[in-house]
Parts: sequence; structure tokens; C-alpha cells
Amino acid sequence: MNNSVRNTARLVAAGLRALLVLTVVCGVVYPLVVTGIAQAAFKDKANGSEVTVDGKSVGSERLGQTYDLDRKDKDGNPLPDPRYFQPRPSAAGANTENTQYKLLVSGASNLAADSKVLLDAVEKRRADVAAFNGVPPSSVPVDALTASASGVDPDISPAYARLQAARVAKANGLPADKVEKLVEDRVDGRLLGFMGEERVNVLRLNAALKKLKG
Amino acid sequence: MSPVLSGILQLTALIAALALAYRPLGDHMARVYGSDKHLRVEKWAYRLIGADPNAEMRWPAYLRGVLAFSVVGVLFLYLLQRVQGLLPKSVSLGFSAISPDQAFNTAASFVANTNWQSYSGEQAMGHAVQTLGLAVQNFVSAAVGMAVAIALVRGFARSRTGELGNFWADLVRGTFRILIPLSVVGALILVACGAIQNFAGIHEIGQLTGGTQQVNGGAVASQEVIKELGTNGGGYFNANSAHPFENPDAFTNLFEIFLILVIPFSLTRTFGTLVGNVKQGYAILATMGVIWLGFTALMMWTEYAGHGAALQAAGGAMEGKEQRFGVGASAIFATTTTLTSTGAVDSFHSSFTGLGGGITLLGMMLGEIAPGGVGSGLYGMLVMAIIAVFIAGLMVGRTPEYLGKKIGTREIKLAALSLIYISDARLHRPVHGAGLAAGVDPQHRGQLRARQRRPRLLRGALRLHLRRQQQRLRLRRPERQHALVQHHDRPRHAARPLPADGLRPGARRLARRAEARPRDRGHAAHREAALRGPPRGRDPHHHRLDLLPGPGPWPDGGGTFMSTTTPVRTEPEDSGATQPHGSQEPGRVSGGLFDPAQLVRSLPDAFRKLDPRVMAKSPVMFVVEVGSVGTTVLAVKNPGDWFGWAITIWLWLTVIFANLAEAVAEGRGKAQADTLRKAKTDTVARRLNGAAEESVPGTELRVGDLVVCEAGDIIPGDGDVVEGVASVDESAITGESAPVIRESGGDRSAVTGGTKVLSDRIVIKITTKPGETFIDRMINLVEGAARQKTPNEIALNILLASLTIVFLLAVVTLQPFAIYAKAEQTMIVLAALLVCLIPTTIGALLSAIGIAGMDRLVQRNVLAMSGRAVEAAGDVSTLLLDKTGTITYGNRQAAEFVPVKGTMAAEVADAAQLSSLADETPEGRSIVVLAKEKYGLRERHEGELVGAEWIPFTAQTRMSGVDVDGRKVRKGATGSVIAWVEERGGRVADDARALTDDISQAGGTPLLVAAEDDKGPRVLGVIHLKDVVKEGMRERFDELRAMGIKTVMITGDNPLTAAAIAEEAGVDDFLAEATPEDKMALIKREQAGGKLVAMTGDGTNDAPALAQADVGVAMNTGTSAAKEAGNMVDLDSNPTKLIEIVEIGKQLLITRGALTTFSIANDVAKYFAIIPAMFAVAYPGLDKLNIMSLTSPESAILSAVVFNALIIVALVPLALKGVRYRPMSADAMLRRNLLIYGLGGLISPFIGIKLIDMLISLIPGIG
Repeated sequence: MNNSVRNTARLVAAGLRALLVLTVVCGVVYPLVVTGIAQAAFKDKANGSEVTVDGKSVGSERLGQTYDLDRKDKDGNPLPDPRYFQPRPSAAGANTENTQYKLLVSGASNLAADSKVLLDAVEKRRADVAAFNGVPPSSVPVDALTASASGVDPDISPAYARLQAARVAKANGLPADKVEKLVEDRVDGRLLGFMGEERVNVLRLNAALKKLKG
Repeated sequence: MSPVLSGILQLTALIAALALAYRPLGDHMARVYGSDKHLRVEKWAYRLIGADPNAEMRWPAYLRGVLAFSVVGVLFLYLLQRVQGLLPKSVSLGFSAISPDQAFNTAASFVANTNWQSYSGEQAMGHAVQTLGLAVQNFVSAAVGMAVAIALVRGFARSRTGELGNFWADLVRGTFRILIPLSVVGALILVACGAIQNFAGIHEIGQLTGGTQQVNGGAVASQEVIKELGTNGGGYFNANSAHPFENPDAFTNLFEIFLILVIPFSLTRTFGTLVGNVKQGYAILATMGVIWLGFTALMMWTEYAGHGAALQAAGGAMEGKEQRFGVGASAIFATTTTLTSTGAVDSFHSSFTGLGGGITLLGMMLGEIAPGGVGSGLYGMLVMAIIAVFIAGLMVGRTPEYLGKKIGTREIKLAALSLIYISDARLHRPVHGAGLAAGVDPQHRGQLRARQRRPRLLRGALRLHLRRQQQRLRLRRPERQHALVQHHDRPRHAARPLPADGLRPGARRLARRAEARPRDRGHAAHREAALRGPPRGRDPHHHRLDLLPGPGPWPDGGGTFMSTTTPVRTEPEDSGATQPHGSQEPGRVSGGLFDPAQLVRSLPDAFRKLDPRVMAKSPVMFVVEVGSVGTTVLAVKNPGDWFGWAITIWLWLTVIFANLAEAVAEGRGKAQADTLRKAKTDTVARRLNGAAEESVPGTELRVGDLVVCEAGDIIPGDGDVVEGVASVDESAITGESAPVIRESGGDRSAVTGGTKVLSDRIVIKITTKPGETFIDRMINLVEGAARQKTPNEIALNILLASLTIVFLLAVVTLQPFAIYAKAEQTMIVLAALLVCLIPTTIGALLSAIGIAGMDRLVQRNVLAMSGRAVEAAGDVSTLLLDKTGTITYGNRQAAEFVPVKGTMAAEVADAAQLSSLADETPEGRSIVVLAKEKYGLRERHEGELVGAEWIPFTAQTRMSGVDVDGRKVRKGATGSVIAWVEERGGRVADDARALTDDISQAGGTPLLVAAEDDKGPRVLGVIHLKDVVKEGMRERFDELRAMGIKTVMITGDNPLTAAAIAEEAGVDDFLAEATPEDKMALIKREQAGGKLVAMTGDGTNDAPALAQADVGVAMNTGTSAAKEAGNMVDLDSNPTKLIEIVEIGKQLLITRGALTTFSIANDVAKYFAIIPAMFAVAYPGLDKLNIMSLTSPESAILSAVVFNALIIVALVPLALKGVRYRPMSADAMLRRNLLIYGLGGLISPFIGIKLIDMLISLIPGIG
């Protein structure tokens, strides 16, 4: 009995030492080495690929952000700012746990494919986007109707960007063809021609738009 | 480029990348785990740990290491989370301590490589917990998984030892040499593409519109890469790999999928390399790959199609998916992550299409195998391989073996447990999830119900689901989470003793082949044997010689045994009119007759067997009986329901049909037992008491008693003749009416109780207690009373029972689903479904197959003393055959007279004939016959020559001859005749020696013929004696070779003769100048090589070898020692019968395997019949599955049940006759049987159910 307790203790002690060794290697040395190289070689990317306009950071190229007016609609949702290209709908929620920070919590709606809630949401978005941009509802592309996975999807489809071009041009008092060209210049094709989908980064598009406006 | 094409190209690129990595990484891992060198850092690590990396561990030690490390891991991670609030803000980001329940949840699931992320990373876990806690477990839980898989592989690869390597070394190496290098490279690739890697805290960055956005920093890339590589999955952010900081673009997305798959796939290469057969690795890879690719293709199809009302309204399945990945890549990620039990997601499965959600669900259920998690995939697959190999092995008639390890009862038991564990754990989770959802507050019910329709609450989805609730509903119920932890937690590294347990070292481990090989290579006639004296003389009468076998088991009369269906068949007055057998079907194995009238006759027995105590022996049918009782109760409660009654009746019929099959099989034996009982009349024994003789009943004899039997007496018990010689009529047992000689001493001393002395007087020493005599045992055997389940049958029973449990769980689980789907099923339908799904066909026929197999042996006059022997017979890979009597006619015969120079052949023939007249041995007679046939010399008789002095052949002189008219003629063994000639001053012709050598070379036996007359003593010539090989033996051996059985000829001849005969007969190998010790050594050597050996024997000196052989067939004419040692007795004493015994054994195994396959394949059609019927109301779309267009749901279910019952009756003849066995290679046979019983089992129920449905629909008032 004593013997088995002692053996167990010895074994657990070995396990603990192994864990500590591996914690130092995998939990301290490894992330520090990777961070060191990353900060040296890819400083910008490793720190979140921030976009600057006029020397001022305007957000991360990787993250979507909101382009809303200060006004709210009758349901209390902020109204989209027509002067900017709008991102995809987001189902990301606000922090509920650690209230000392107003963190955005990434995430999706988790609504099922045949959910009535989602169906209603899609139909409402279609009507809203069509009305907001003054286009027929049938022309609204799918990414404008569905919430992204992360809630901070930085991209929209080229179709959605083109759809918004006329409205943005009008709201900013810019010639439509200039805005359209702006969009076309910022369409990212598929990586190596086949990976992923064509997309337009909303922040970079809006930043370019701001520059165009001067 | 269309999105679909892009998806296909991405999939292609992914496969290409995996293929490129397969060999280098697989080989690298094999080297890592196979190497005995330690890197310097590793040495430091071992020193710090205090472990000796070179100390080999057996599985208990290895397991203790795994457990100790895991327990410490859980505690450490728990404490780390609990003290988060005390840590400096720079590493805690100001987050407070994680609550105890949440901390324990996270700690347990990360250590177990489940990585249930029921927290939101960006709002709960600071840098310290993420990097010191979670990232570390991401590494080590993967390393532990790989270590366990490798330990299992070593168990397969190392056959001699139970040592599995060293856990600490495997852990450290896996981490240092595999995971860390790949992670460093991978992390930098991710950073280069835009993943973040910093230790910034939560900071605000400006927004274009002027406001600010809060952003988390963190060591994301370094965590992301090991999260995928180790198939872990706990994300840094709540959105997991959908978050742009974790997975910035389409390339990183593919790269992350690659990272998930690369180790599980490549481990199959490691496995193949370590077991020394890369093809084994490819086989597992192919299975994994096909499942993964099939799932992925289906997933891409359904996601591109975007089924579902909301998705259709939106115009595509982009809800919960990122624009930069698109639909196709998200679909690939989804199947990959679920099939590997990785928790990472790049899109949200809850919002997938219905079918897509179902695929993720199924993927999670298969998560341990295809390709499975790091390590767990391989060992999960190996468990599946064991089960698959078991059934496939049966189908080719071999006791299944995987990588040289026999799969027996124990292995199947463990594999079945694992199977149940996998299914149970999977099936129970949704139920639990459903229960959880039921507790959600009402206003969210509608929303939840939409999701619950396809319960997708498993693994990642469950995690997300729960997290959503936590976030949205502020629902945190510790007790629920704990319950879920217990269910959800996959203790696949820490607390799963199964794989390691299978590696039990010890007795059953078979010796490594390589070590046995050098000794069995080449011929077994060896150096040491060649040194041992002259060939052992063999009694030419040793074996009965009248049993030339037919060409195969289906001859038109291959020996006496073929014409006698039962031992007593030739004695109709004994057997009376009780013979139940019909006429024999020509061209088929005798036995296995099936007489429909017998079904009726066995009916009472079938009902008697409904006793639950009897039924419980067959778990499958017991479940059916319980179901029948249940439906009966329900039907009685609701008597107006015709459907309930119909199902009830057919369920009962299913049980009765199963019992009927067994009763029919047993009934045949009973009839034989009755006739045997008649033979065993109560005899009065004349026991010798000193010199006096007393009469006692035969039942009072004790072992060692001496009894006297004279002509006309029935021998009262089994024993050995100790005095006298007598002719005995053994027809009561053997069915052979010709009397046999029994005499004291030698190999013909055994007598059997119940046989009759025809002449003379013998004294017998009783060797068996009354009630245990041969005839008693025989009665028990044919009656089936003594039938024990054979090991293989037990294993199959366990497998069937486990499948039954799996289906039972599935059906039990179905009801909650059905209730959610608003398609609640009646208990009658569920009982019907259960009975249709469990393997009733094989369950019903299993014992009938076993009984029929024994019966087939009995019909060939072979008594198997153990079922194990019958099974082993099917699995024999080496046959030891005595040359004499089995391969050759057993007596050497004169083939030629060769004169020496200066002598005429006729002169030699004359002298040979003359000198052989006094030689009554078969050789001597054959010389006379040859002289007559070839040289026209009339046979002379001893009386014809007046004044002749005959010198008979004796074993001492080894010569025979005659002295007549002053002429002395001798013929005999070379040495003796030369001595005789030289003794008389004669000369041996020079060429005589050359001639004898030539004959010896050719495998013959030379005899010299010499004469002494007026020309002086001299050698006349040589007689060439040849051992004549029986016709058809070569073909027989060719067949055996095709079956994969090696034949070894055992002979007392010298190596030269033996080689010649071996060549002529076509055996694979031979053992010359064999002594009993040689035989024993040969058997042990073969067995050490993992082979099963069968042999025949009859002498007392054969007994040890008979006992050692896996199948020892003793001749009934042999000694009681031999009969006692062997596990079968051949009543015909026909050594050739061994070949048929092998075929019967194979047939037994094949029949089981074939019907198991058939039974399981049957299920597919039943799914198509029943599932649409059950759910067509709730889901009209399911009606598409009703491909048989069955009339109505009721008729569909009823048809399936009816088919299920009738197929049992339909297969009874096959079960009794056995699947036809043809000698062919295992591959060809597997293909053939898979085609017939697999494909046949797949198709036939479609046809059968459709036909039954058409009939049922004709009944008015139904359908």
C-alpha cells in the first residue's frame, strides 16, 4: 500500500516535471521565438495590418467595421451611412461577461438554413438594401443578405460593392464612373486564381473613397 | 471561374499537398518514434523530468504514464485559470478568474484533446492562460495521442515482447521533433499572410468614421497553427478560425485544412513503416481517404446547392460563412474539422444546409476514424480494421488474423466495447443536448426548435450552441455543463485503456516470424536427422490401404465414408426406420441434407426453445423475443390495430424460425444418437479377480479392471487388449462391417465398448470410466449436448451482441429526435425497426451453422472431440501427412528387374520370383506379381518344388530365398545380400553397386538378387522397389496449395527416397527419417511461426505430436493413447480424410462469415423501407428515399419485418449445408463471397420487400 502510494507519487511528480518542462518549451520559448521572428519580419501584419489615412490609423485591414450614422431607426438599430460602402450584416454580439471592456465578441447567428427567423431576416435585409441603394430587390447579392461567420468579415463581394457604387457616388457628390473605377481597382481576385472568392476589402475601399473626396 | 470549379480546384490542390507531405512526414514520424538517439535538448528534458528514455514499458506502465501526465495537466490548467485574477494585468489582460465549473470544463476537455471551447477567448482568457495553458495542452494532448497510437502500432509490430516503448520519450519526441518544428514554420506562414502575433493587450484603434474599435492582441498565429496541427480546436477568438486574425485569407484557410489533415493521414504511413508493410498503411489511408473525400464531395454539393428556405431566399449558403473563403472552401473545412474531431471552424455549421448539417453530425460520429484526430484516427481505424478483418477472415474460411495477430474472443470483445463506446457516446450526446434545449426559456424556444430539428449539438456545434446560449441567454448552468463534460469529453488519451489493453503481452503472443523462418526454410530433412541410424521400419499393415480417396469432397463415391451418411447407415437393421435423412444431393458435400418435413418435426422443439433462459444464450434473438413480448402487450392493449397484431405475429415468427433452424440442426444428430444408444446395450462383463472370474454389470467397471471377452461377447468398455488376439466387429461404431484384428501390444490393441468379439479370446484392461466411454462421448457429440461454442463463434456472438446494442441505442435515441420532428413513433414501429436493424439473420442461424458443421464431420465418420478443433481445422496452414497409407499405397512394389552385366533379365526375374515365394510381405508378393505380369513367369507354390528348403523373410536377416536342387537363391536388402555373397567367397558385380545407387537416387528401394550355383555365388541383378503414389494426390496437393496450405510429408525413408516421393506426389516439403521427436519439433516450429498444424496418427508414439498439433486426427484403429491425445477420431481410419476435415472446417467459418455479411448488408434495404415510412409524414422530402415505392408506411414496415423473418427460413438450408467451398486463393474467395453474400445481401431485400409489399397490398383493408 505504502509502496503503491509512493510509486504513484513518484509517477505524478514525473508527470508534473514533464508538464513544467513542456510548458516552458511550448508555452514560453515557442511563442516568444515565433513572436520575435514575426515582429522582426512581418511587423505590420503581426500587429493587425492597420490601415492609415493621413498618418492616422483608421482600423485594421483584417477587421470589418461599422459605417453608421448617429441616428437610429425605430427598432433602435443604427442607420447605415450612405456615404460609405457598407459591409456584410454582422451577428457579432457585445461583451456580456467582462463588462469592464466594451469588447466586440466575434461570432455568427447560428440560425438554421430553414429557420423562420433567418428567413425573415433575409427578406428584411433584401428589402432594406434594395431601398437603401435604390435597386431592384432581386439584384441584391447573397453576401449582403447573410451574416458572416466572424461578424467582422472585412470583405464584400464585388457585386455588392458595384451595387453600392451609384448610391455612394450620389451621397458624396462624386461622379459615378469614378466611384465605379475605384471599386474595380479594389476587386481582389481569387488567390492564385482559384483560392477563395473574389472580394473587395471594405475598409480599403472606403479609405480610398475618402482620399478621392479629399 | 465558377465558384464550383474554384472549390474543386482547391480540393485538388489540398489533396496534392497532402500527397506530397505523406511520405516525408510519415517516414519522418516513423524515424522519430523508431530512433534510439536523443537530441541534446531531449536529454536535458529527460534529466529534468527524471525519466530514463531508454526504459521499455509494458502497457500498464505506459498507461500509468499517460494517466499521470494527464491528471497533472488537468490540475495545472484548472489552477492556472482559477488564479488568472491574481496575475499581472499584462498577462491576464485584466480578466478575472474563470469560474470553477468553466475552468474544469476547459481543463478536462483540453487535456483530453477535445478542446471544447465553451468560453469566448477574447473576453475570458488572457495571454497567460492562452499560451501557458491552452497552447501547451494543444501540443501535449496531441503528442499524447500520437504516443498512444504509436504504442498500439508497436504492439502490432513487436510480436515477441509486450514492450511498447517509453511514454516520456514518445511524449518529448513527438513534441520536439514533430509538432514544434512544424508549428514554428506554420506559424510564420500564417503571420506572413496576416495572422497576428504579438503580446499587445486589448487596445482601441481608430475607425474611418471617427469612432474607435477595440481589438485584441495575442499570440494568435502560434496558437492557431498547433490548434489545427494537433486537431485541437480551441480558438483564440470566439469566432475561431472564421476570425480574420486567426485565418486571414483563402490561402491560410486551405493551409489550416492541410494542417488538420496532415498528421492523421501521414500516420498511416508511419504505421505501415513500423509494422514493416507500407501496404497496410495504404489500406487504412485509402479507407480514411475515401470517407473523407466522399463526405467532402457531398458537403460541397449540398452547400453549393444551398437547400433550406432561408438560404434559398438569400440565394446561397453564405449565412455564417466568410466572403474570403466562400462556400466551397468552407465546406471542405467543415467536413475536415468534424471528421478529425477538431473543434476549429471557419464557418458556422448551425447555418449549413440540412444535409450539410447532417454530414457534420455524421462526421463527428465518425470523428475517431476518418481520418480522425491526431493519433486517435489511427487507433480508431485499427479497431475498425480488427472488426472488418474478422468478418473478412471468416469469409475466406480462416480464423481471422491481423498483422500476424490472431483475432480471437478477447480481441473482438475489446473491439466491440470500443465500437459500442463510439456509438454510445455519439448517440447520447444529441439526447442530452435535446434535454438541455428543453430547459431554455420559452421565448427562445421557437428559434431553438428550428435548429433542433436536426440535432446538431455535437462537438463544435454543441460548443457553439452552448456558447451562444451563454452569451445570449445568460444561461450558465454548471450542473448541465458538467453533465455534458462527462458525456462530451473524449477521454481518448487519458482514460481509455482499450487500445493499450489490447497489447497484453504474454502467452498468446505469437512468435515473430522472422525468427522462426531460418529454421523452416528448405526441406525439413535435416542434417541431424540424416545422422540417425537406418530408416525406421514401418509395418506395412500399419494403415488400412483400401481407402483411396476421391478427387475431392464431391466425388461420386470417394471411399466408404461417402456412401455412408451416418455411421450406422450400412446397417439398416440396426438403425431401423428412424433415419430422418432424405436422399443425398449429388455433387454436394455429403451431409447438410435438408428435408422440409423436418421443419415440421422440429416445430415442438422450436417452441420449447422460446424459454427465455434458452434464448438468452443468443443475445440477438433474445432482443427479438423481448421485442415480441413488448409488441404483444401493446397489441393486446389496442386489439383493433391490425398493424400491431401483424407486426407482433411476425416478430414471434422471427424468433420461432430461429429456434427452428437450431432444432432442425439438432434433430439430425438426435436420430443418430438414438441408433448409437441401441448399440450400447447394457453388457455383463466378465471381470478377472485374480485367477477367478466374476460377472459384473458393464457400468460397474473401473479403470484398470481386467475383463475377458470371448467370441460372441460384447466388449463392455473401452480398453486395451493385454492378452490374446481376436477379430472384432466394430460396425456399431464405424459402420464398417468387415471385422478387424485386435491384439495385445503394438498399435492395434485398443478396443471400444459396444463392439463385438467375433472369434478367439482376449483379456482387456479397461481404460475409461463407464459413462465416459467412446460411445458415450459419441452420443453426446452427435446429440449436440456436449457442443460447446467454439472460440470463433463466441467472438462472432460478441460482435453481434455489440451491434445489437449499437442499434438498440440508435432506436432508443431515435424517439427523442422523432418527437422533436413531430413524428413520434409508436413502440410497435420502433420494435419493428430494431428487429430489422439488428443482425437477426446471422443471429438466428449461428448456432445451427455450428451444429451442422459438427454434423458434417460426424457424417464423414469423424468425431471431433472439441469444437475448437473443427474451427482450427479450417484454419490449418500446415498439414503433416504420413507418407505411408496417405500419400502412397504404403507398400513398396517391385517395378523392375535390372540385371547386372552378363545376366539376362529373365534370369533375374526367375531368381527373384523363386526367392520371393517365401516372402509374405507385400514387397515379396509384388515381386511375384511383377515376374508374372512382365516376364510371364507362372507363380509357383511352395509345395511344387520338392525338397526345397524355404528361407522365409525375417526382419533380422532381411533376406528370403530358397535352396533347391543344389542351387541357392536369395533376394533381400542390399547389405544383407552382399554380406551373404561375400561370406560365400563370391564376388559382387561392379555395376551392382552403381545400379543400387541409381535406384536409391530415384527414390526407389533396391533389393539384390543373388544365387549360388555351379557358377559360384554371385549377384544376378537388382529389383527396383517403388513406393507408388496414390492417384490424384498431386491434384489434391495443388488444391491445398491454392488454399494456402502447406503439406509436409512425414516418412521413415531416407532423405533421397523421401525427396523423390515428395517430388512425385507434389508435396511442399518432407521430413525424412522422421522420429516422433522430429515430428514434434516440426510441429512446434510451424506453430512458432504462427501456423496451425494438423496431423494424423495412430501409434502411441504419435500421441505427443497429436496432442501438440492444433488438429490431431487419431485413427480409430490406433491405440487409446493416440485417441486420447488427438482431438478428432476418424472412425474410418483413413489418413486422407484430414484434407476433408480441413475443408469442412473452412466451410464452417465461411458460412458464418458469409451469412454475417449477408445479414449486415440486408440493413441497407431496410433503411430505405422503414425510415421513409416513419418520417415521410414529418418530412415529405424523405419520400424520395422510398425508392421501392412501397404502398404505405404500414405495409413498408410490415414487409421489412416479414422479409426479415422469411429470410431466416430461406437460409436454413444454406446454414445446414454450408456455403460451398472451392479451393482458391483467399483473394478470389473474398471477392467471390463478397459479391454473392455482400452484394446479394444488399440487393435481395429490395426485391424481397417489394414483392412482399405487393402481396400485402392485395389484402383488402390494408395499405
